[in-house]
Amino acid sequence: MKEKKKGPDLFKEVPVKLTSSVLWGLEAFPIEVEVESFHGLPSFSIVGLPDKVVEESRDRINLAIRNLGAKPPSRFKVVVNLAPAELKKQGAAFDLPIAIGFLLASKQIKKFETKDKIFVGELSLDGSLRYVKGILPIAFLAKKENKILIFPKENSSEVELTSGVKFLPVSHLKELVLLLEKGKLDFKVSQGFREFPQLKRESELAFIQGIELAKRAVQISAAGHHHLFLYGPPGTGKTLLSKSMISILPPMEEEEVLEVTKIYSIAGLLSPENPIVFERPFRAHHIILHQILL
Amino acid sequence: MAHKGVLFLDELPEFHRDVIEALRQPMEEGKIQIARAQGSVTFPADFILVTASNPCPCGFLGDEEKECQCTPSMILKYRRKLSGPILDRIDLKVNVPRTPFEKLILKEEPEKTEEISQKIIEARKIQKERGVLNGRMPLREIKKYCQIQKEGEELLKEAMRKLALSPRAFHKILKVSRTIADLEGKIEIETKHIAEALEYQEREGDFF
Repeated sequence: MKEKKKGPDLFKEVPVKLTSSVLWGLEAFPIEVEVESFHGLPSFSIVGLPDKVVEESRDRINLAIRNLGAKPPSRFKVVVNLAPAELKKQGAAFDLPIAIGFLLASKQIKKFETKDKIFVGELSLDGSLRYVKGILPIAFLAKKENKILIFPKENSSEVELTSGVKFLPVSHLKELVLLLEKGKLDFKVSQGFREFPQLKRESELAFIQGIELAKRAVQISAAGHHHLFLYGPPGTGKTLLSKSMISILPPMEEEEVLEVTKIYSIAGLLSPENPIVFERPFRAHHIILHQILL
Repeated sequence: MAHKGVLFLDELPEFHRDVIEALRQPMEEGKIQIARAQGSVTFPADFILVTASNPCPCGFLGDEEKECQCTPSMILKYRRKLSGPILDRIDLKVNVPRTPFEKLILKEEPEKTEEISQKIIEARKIQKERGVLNGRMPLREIKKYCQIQKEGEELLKEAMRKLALSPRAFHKILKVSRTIADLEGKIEIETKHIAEALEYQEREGDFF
């Protein structure tokens, strides 16, 4: 990093530091995003084990900032460091912290308190923010560290499931910049979900006739968490029996709901209309299946 | 992905061997470890495994109506896919025979789903007070909670001798009869509970 020392005196400051997060398994870990920008031969590099998606965020950020009417990173020499360095950084959620970090480092926006915030969000070229996968674990991290979570608006229904998280959904980079310029963030605190929806508990089990022993086995299996093996000729109701099992299992408790929703959140299976999983999952797999999928 | 739910694998013998073997860890521990280049990640995977299988590749072995068209070696090969270790971890095994026409048109008043699920919720409550679900009960707890009476012991002894059951099968029977007793809200495991649990064990000449 010899170039750093050659930088003009004007920028002899500490680099800008922001917090973001990366997922590892079901856990979210804090990532420090350090950005330094100075005059010199234009270049934009991201270090700290970024994957291809993170690498590409350079182009998204460049255009998003230019479309904002500000000076884009392509006019400066920019170095971004994602720490801790040995953790693999994946996903597009770093777009937002890097973009904000750059605007700060290049003094295009006023300084603000960065320590108490976590930024996640994917930028589109016009500067609007897109849905990111796995926001739920990050929300728990924000709660643990007592930070304000700043994230794409499309994710808000998921974040609102948690309780006690300070959060601020934004839909556009410009919106966030204006808010930060004003210096006062009106964050909200999530209330958590209170109501369990009344699940439809209809099933075919009651109407399956003749195979009483198997029906009974399904009930025992559901009651005691025993694994079950059904065998018999085709068409006798093995599949039907196993499908009806979901309807007789007790509804999930709050903790279980959150845990299952977390998995769905990471897998990107949630949507704004459908932000939470109340029903116990039923997964049927057929022959083509990879180990990881399970 | 099936965390806290049901994982259903149809036609179990048609799955690749390594897929079946990969199920062993989550079945026992309720979580799965996936090794990646960076190290390993542990995901929770607490599910009830429900598997189904035909008795042979064509599906009609032992059927009363249709004839099986498989050669003995095909049947043997098919069954060998169901490795011992995985079947060993399955507590309940049950035959689903063809339902005769007379029974299909019977108009019995079926047991309501709500009633069934209420019973199950009750049974789970009992288990929760004990601290562990029966299907996950470790040995020490089996000793503690699955006490049986003299009469039941006799029955079990007889069954073990006649069916040549392994110690693991013995524990499975205890766990299952515990659940049956829980379903009825009984504190002690009675002889009839054990008798029913024995129904769900594999038997010589039945399938294996």
